[in-house]
Amino acid sequence: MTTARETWVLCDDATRPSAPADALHLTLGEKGQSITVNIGGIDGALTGRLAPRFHDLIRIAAFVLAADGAVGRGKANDDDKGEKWHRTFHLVAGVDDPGFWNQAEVIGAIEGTLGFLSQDNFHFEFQPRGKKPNRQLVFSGPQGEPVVPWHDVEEVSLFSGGLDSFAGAADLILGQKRSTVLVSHRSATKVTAVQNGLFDDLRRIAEEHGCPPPEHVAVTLARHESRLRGEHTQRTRSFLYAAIAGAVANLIGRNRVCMYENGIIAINLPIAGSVVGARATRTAHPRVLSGFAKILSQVAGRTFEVRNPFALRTRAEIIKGLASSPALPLAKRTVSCAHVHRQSKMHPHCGICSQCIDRQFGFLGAGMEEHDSGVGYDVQLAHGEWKDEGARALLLNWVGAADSYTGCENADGFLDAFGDAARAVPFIMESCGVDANAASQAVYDLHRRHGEAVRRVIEEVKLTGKKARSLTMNTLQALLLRKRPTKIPRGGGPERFPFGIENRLVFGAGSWRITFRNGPVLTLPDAKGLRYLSFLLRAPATVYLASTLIDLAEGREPSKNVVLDERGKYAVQDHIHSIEAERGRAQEMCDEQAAARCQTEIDALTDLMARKGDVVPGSGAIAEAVESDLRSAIAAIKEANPVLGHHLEDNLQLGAVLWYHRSAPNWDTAPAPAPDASASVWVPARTLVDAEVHVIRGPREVGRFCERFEVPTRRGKTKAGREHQRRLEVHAPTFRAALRRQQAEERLLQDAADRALTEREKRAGGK
Amino acid sequence: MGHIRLPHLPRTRRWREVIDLIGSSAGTAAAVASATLDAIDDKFVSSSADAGLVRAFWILAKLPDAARSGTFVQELRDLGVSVSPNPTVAELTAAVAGAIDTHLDSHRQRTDFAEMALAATVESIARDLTQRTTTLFPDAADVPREIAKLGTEVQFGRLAQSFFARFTERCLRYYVDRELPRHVGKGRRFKTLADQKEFSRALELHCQQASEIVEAFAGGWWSKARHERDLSETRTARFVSYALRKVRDELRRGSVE
Repeated sequence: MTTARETWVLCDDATRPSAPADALHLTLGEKGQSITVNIGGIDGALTGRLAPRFHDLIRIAAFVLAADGAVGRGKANDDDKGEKWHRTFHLVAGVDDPGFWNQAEVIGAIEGTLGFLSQDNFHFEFQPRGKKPNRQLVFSGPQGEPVVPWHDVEEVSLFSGGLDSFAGAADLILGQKRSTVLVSHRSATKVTAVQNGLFDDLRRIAEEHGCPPPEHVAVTLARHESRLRGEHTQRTRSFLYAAIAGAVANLIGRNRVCMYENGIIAINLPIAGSVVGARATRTAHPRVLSGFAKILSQVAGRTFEVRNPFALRTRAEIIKGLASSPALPLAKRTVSCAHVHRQSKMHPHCGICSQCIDRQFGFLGAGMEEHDSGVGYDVQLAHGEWKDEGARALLLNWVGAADSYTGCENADGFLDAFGDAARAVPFIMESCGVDANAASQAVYDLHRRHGEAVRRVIEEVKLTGKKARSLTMNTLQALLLRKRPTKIPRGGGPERFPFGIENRLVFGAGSWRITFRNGPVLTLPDAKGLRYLSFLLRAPATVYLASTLIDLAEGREPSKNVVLDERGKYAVQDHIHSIEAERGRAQEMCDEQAAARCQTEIDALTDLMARKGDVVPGSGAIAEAVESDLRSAIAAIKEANPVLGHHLEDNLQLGAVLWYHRSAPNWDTAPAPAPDASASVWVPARTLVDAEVHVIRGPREVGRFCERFEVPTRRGKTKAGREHQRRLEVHAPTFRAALRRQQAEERLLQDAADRALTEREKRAGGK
Repeated sequence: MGHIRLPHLPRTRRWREVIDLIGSSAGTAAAVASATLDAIDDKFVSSSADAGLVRAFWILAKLPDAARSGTFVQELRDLGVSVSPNPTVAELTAAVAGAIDTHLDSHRQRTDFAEMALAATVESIARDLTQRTTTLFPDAADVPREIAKLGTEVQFGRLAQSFFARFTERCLRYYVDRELPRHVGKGRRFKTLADQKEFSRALELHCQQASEIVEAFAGGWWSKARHERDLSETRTARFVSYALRKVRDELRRGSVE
């Protein structure tokens, strides 16, 4: 399975010189080709032949579905912004009538409908079909016999074997007594058995009640190459179903196809912020059905209608509608589950997919749970154990969304909360012949009724749970057994979850305590780098010189006469340029506040640049030392808290001048007291090791060092006060003085060594 | 046929922090928002390059202009928004959604940002007009009149703030919602679904407050662009980019000044 975003698909003998070498080649026909579409029951025996354009339409739809399955949409845990989810297909197909298919209107209707349906971007190109094999599609029954006495057929309806399509078929056949052809897709053997069983019994009941017995056309789409079955979402499959149902309707001279789906699932508003676009399938969305109707009308050359009579009914209402139907006993045998691979004879329903959740709530909401599959659910809604995290998430999102529908006061308020609902309005207007207000009201009413039904079920489930007193943490009762949240008006209100964010860097008891984004407290021993950091974090966007930071850290008033060296000037000049660009953008956007702040920063930096005087000797070395101390501190932080470490690396500018990025978070920092050499402070040896890591490498070395330089030490108590854990403590001022003495000695020795080396080199050069 | 694909967060280092924050009581809405923005790097600001997002905000920016032009219907039609002379809130929002969808169809630019922007546009129009046309059955003529009233610096600033608040909230919830339900239940951060919803509400309010920064300059920008007769899509794209950067900075700072 390829994962490329742009995929070229060359169908049958179509060619395209500019297509890449890895283009997907698809062929449709008998076994041995990539795809076979087998429509049992209709062929020459029935009508002679399919109209060539319908023949082409079915082929195109089959190619689209095959391509859909061949290119992955990424994984469920991708953190991209849906780049993998949205794919681009360039589909080149040979057709009998390229003049018709290449019309802008026809291509526009197909691309627009498929784009909305699948959220993919489609480009179609049609060519004259070269070779025309006898049987591109296998349209024969076992003996080629006509199974559809088409002369008296009035309706064509899609029939999946699920509850909605079954209820629709029952209504057409037994309620309206209309002669109907049911068109099914045989996606798996398990599904075929369910469809056949339901059809046989529907036919029997129809005959018993004096209704015209239905006919059945079943479609099998076989994708023989495994690469065509890699992506399971198959958002475009309803295009193929509609094409086949349209072809059947055209064969029998009808211009209408029914596709039954309850309104909630048809409109399928996102149940969570993570469900964007077609992640909630749009198979039967009013806009998609309207698009199918447009395509079929163009292909048939006359007005075609694709209807969903249940577009404004909830599943509970559909179930209630079945109550008086003689087909009611069959409802138990319908299978709505989306997880076909999980189905078993004992558990035809997984219970945890969105379809199963909706179905269980539907039956409970209708008060007709005795007609539901009952033990057929692997996980039962009310009393089952919702252990699977994904399933729990789906259930909670589903219930949460339904609950939200009831929180809207009117249709406009509903649009305010669920903007996606507006997309259904024009097509409800079109199909119901009402104005926008009525359509919007109908969509709102539908969702409100659904929400109220779900709420009633939840109340009952809660009551049952309370009575049972046997809740485990994974039951629906346990998840919902609390009163509903208090409604908070938009724009304000008390919160149990405070907005606050705490970033702290504070010094106390000889160490620094750091909290980033309310996370756990990190404690680090005092170090120069952390002292510098505390000043940088305290004032984002303030530019410091290295020497200024040292002055601040050592409790001195920073010198106002420090002059930048060349390196510092370059850095400040660069920074001024970037702030000027920012100021330019702010001025263009009329953001006066930001422009003024930029100007203030520029003025301060310009002043710094303009200072006259002598550059501090060794300013480069000072900057390097400060940078080194800061990098050590960041490394220590990163070891304990990688996220904060990375954050500091990304947002701190180090070098001749230093600053913390303007857009970085605010910090609460309390500066460390300036180190006081005369203070009698006993510091744990471990702290000194950590602080002076580049000088002393371990506590044992501290001991030797103290002995050599006569630094007082003592045994201090640990917090726990246990004798055997007494730690070595060092008199800090004496220790620091000793350290400075040793460093001075090292410098002297180094200088002497350098001088000796230079003299040796000179002598060698002279000889 | 109603399948829903529910994604979840990757368990990488950066997302671990977000997950840990969501799971702990220390993870306030602000902390979670800030950590999420860090985890998605520059994806939030780079969304400003999304043609669907720019088109959505451009239509929003053109609405008051059209209502004040005297040829409301024609002006809207030029934007691809087909409405009757006296549209209702429902008709207008449906037509705006349709115009954005048609643009996405014709330019083959379907992205998640575009989806979020479309919903944010509809919601901000619906909210604004619903608040203005307070009567239960408003006179349809109110709608063009009320849209015309959006054509001031203050009012447009509010409309823009509403749009960016909703868009930002959707962008954050796109990730955060993948994790929230996993922390509901006994022994977890949110004991019940009601607790989780309360957190989501806090996140929504935080986004609203962070987006207030846009209100401060959006009106001025709109007024200037209109005055210079250059309320173009290109200019809008630059504005969207700048506004998203400002909102991101506010959210990263964690506290709203």
